[in-house]
Order: sequence, then structure tokens, then C-alpha cells
Amino acid sequence: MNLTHDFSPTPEVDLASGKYVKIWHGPQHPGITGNMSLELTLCGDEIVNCKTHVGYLHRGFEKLMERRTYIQNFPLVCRIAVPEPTFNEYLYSAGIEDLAGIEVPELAKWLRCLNLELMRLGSFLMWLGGASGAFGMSTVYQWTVTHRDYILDLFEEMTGARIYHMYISPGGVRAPLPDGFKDRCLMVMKKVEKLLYEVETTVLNNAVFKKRAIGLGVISSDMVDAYGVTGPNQRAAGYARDTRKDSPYLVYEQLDFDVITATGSDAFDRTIVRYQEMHQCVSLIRQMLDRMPTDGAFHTPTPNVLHWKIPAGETYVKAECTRGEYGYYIETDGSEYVRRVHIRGPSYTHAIAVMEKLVIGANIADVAGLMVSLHTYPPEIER
Amino acid sequence: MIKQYLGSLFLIELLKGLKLTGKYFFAKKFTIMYPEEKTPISNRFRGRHALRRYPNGEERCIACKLCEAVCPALAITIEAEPRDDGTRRTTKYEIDLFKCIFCGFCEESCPVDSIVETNIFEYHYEQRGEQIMDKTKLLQFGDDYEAQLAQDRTLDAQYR
Repeated sequence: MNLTHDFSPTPEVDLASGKYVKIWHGPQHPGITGNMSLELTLCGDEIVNCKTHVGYLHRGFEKLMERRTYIQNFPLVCRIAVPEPTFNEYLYSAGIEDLAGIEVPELAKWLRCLNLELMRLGSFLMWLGGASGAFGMSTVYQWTVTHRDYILDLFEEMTGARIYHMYISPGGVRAPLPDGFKDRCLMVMKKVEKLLYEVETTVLNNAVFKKRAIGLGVISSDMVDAYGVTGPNQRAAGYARDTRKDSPYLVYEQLDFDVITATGSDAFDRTIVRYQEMHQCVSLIRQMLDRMPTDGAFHTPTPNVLHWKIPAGETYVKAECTRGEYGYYIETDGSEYVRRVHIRGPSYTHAIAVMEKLVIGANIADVAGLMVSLHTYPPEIER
Repeated sequence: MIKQYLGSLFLIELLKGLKLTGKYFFAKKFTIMYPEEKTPISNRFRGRHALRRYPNGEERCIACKLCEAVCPALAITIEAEPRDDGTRRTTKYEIDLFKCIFCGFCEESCPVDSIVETNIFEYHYEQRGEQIMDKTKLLQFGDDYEAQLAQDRTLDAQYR
């Protein structure tokens, strides 16, 4: 592991000299990501210093969970990362199952995996719109959000809710696929694939986008391990690491996919990696719909959830979410309540430490684009 | 490389993108004119609650209080005592819809399919306190939407 990175802070500037100006970027959605703010020191329109401030969205979920029963925590965890609640649901359930020693039925694993991949695609679509919006192409935002809505329609059919599905409950899933879901899902995938090619024409081949994104916010390879950069940000820096491949969970072992990498490590390459991962999502969803078992149990009977006591123990479960490695550390002490939950979200490193480094030397107009290219969700930073 | 350079120089890539956006300008719109047009709603949709009755008009709820116990938002309040004919019934059944997060655990926990979530999501209140659904209101919703509720439950019953 390469930890030779220089962590020394950027030198303070003399504000009284009149050469510099300090402005606040945020906290109202700096670059369509959520509530956090950047305290920027500018020289002309070039950024010389940046300090990130979070705390606008702290809701104390980890503490709240210590005073609620296991089943009552379940609707709480999905509120942590708003655009992709499923990863929280899955990891919480997987942690509880690990501690309680519950085996999940085969069909439930496939359904969970399908749900996670649909969510990943939906989240990436929203991100793609945000990214093109941050670079001044808000038409694309309308297209991608429309197509995300088609995926939300699928979720409504599958789970009963559009955003907070509360579908992957401890023990399995709450319902199997309805009749005819496969055809409708494939139809949506076809639409999404068509959209992706259109986005390639409009955004990725666009001279203005290329001019602005290439070379913007390069994460050097010594930063990757030093800061704990994961997910597409890491893969764009040339590291072929993916939790789905390295420590497979659910049914990812049986699916056919490659880890997508790039070499440039700038905003453009991160966009390309995510763009290709969206195609990968579509392919994974198609594979799953083809190979999924059609019948069988979808939920293992759990003990009475109102008085569910889980033996003492601790576990760490992780999954690859759209932004990187998402992990849940759960500790139990044999009572009806959880002793401690810690959630590791990738946005924490990306939006705070890495952002502070990358933004230096960038242009003020590119801050939103840079922030979106890291794909961060402030709700997930502070929980 | 040269092709790419020329493409950028003469703004061909930009024009291609503009052609596509121009096409969408004249294409059929995605927009659904909401109050007039509506998208179909899944039979699993979790909306406002209702209390159901048996076909003979007897209310289903037996005041087991499982929904009250499981509710993550603590939105349900139940008080119960035996009725004149000796059966245990609720005297008070209230759901605070401001607290409710529509997770559907109450419906899942109910042993007699009494508390259900309808697919109604368009409603409003005009007075403070109206959001607290009492037993009369909930039973009324159950009577109003019984046909829809029964149909949704039958559609999903094959999987349960």
C-alpha cells in the first residue's frame, strides 16, 4: 500500500492583502448534490484554498438505532442515502442475518440483487443528469430523470413504493415479482439503453464538455489508498477493484461482468467509467431476469420481530454501491436492541478530504462539475 | 485523431447534439398532465390506511395490537375492551398520518387482514387535527374502497 502522500495543509493566505476573496459555495446544493458548503478562497477566479463544511443534514441515525427494535430500525436505515436506499436496506438486513444466523432463500438473493442493480441504474441516471446539468446541459437532466422515473415505476410495481421501498427485510424480501414484470422491465431497459446512446452523442462527445472535464480534478494514484478512495473514482484512476468481484455477495459470482477501469482519473474519465457501468447495469439486469428462479420461498421465517433477541456479536458487511464501498458495522449484546451501528459511506472521504485537495487550482465555474464528478451525497456523509 | 480534431474544430459534434435535442423538441412529450391524466398504480402501493370488515358487516379488527407494537413511527394508538357479546374489540383506533411513514408493517403484521393500505395518495386536511384518522373514518374508507382492496389482495394472494 502506497501511503507516501503529502497530507500537509495548504498554506494560509493573507486575506488583508486585498488580493484574495473568500466566498461560500453552498449550503444550498453546491452542484445538485445536497446540503453542504465549501468555503473557498479565491484569487481572481482561481481557487487557492478550500474548506468543506458539513453538518447541515445530521439526523443522528446511528444513535437513534440504539433505542429501537431491530424491525423498527429497518425503515430508518433507508433514509440514510436518499437516492439509493436499497443498499442501506440490504446491508442492514445482511448484517442482522449474519449475526442471527439466518440463511436467505435462493430466490430472495436474486430478487435482492435485481433490486440493487435497478437502484444502481436509477441512481446513476440521476447522477448523469446532474453531471450534465453542472456542465451547462440541463436538457439531458430532463431526459435522464424521466427515465429514472420509469425505473421508479418498476419499483412501485415490485415493492409498493417508489423511493423508500423497504423491500429487502431481514430474512429475505417482502414480495416476489408480480406477473409480467420481466417484460416491462426489459422494455424499460431498452428505453434506457437508447437514452444512454443519445447521452453519448449529446454530452460525452460534446466539445464543450470535453474541454471542461478533461484534466479537471485529477486524483493521483498515491491519493487513492491514502484517502480511501473507492468505487468508480478509484477505478477511473486505474485500480481494478470492485467489491462485487473481490468479495462477491448475493449472486454476483454467477453473473458475467468485468471491472471497468480508465486511466485518466479526471472528471471526464470518471464520467466515462460511470457511463460504461450503466451499460453494465443494463446487461446485469438482463442476465438476472433470464436466469432468475421463478418460484420458491422468498422469505425465511424469522423469530417474532417484536421480541427478537440477537446473540451478542459483531459484524462488518460491505457492498459496492454506486459511489464506492458501503459498509455496516453492527454490534449486538444479546438484547432486543442493537448496541452500536456504524455506517461507512464512501461520500465521507470523497466529499470532504478529497474534494478539499482537488478543488485547489480549479476555476470557480468548475466547482459544481468537479463535485458532481466525485458523485457524493451529503445525507450519507453525516447520517 | 485528426477526425476528432476536425469534428471539434467545425463544431460537428456540437451540431450532432443540437440535432438530437432539436428532434426531442418536436417529439412526443414525456410529460403526464397530472390531475387530468394519471399513471397506473401498482396493487402493492402503500397509501392511506383503511380498516376492513367481513362480508357480514362485522369489523375484522380483534384488537391484538400487533400493528401498534410493530409500528416504527409509533403512529398507531389502540384502546380495547370486551364488547357486550364477549368479543374483544377496539374502542379507539387512531393513526396519525403525519407520523406514518407508509412502511406497510401494520398490514403485514395483521392476522385478520383488517388494517390495510389503500392506493389513495391524494388527500388533504383543512383543520388542525384532521390528520388523526379515528376508527369511524378508517372503517368508512374501508367500506368505500372495499372492491379495490379485495381485488388488490386477490392479485397478490397467489404469492403469499
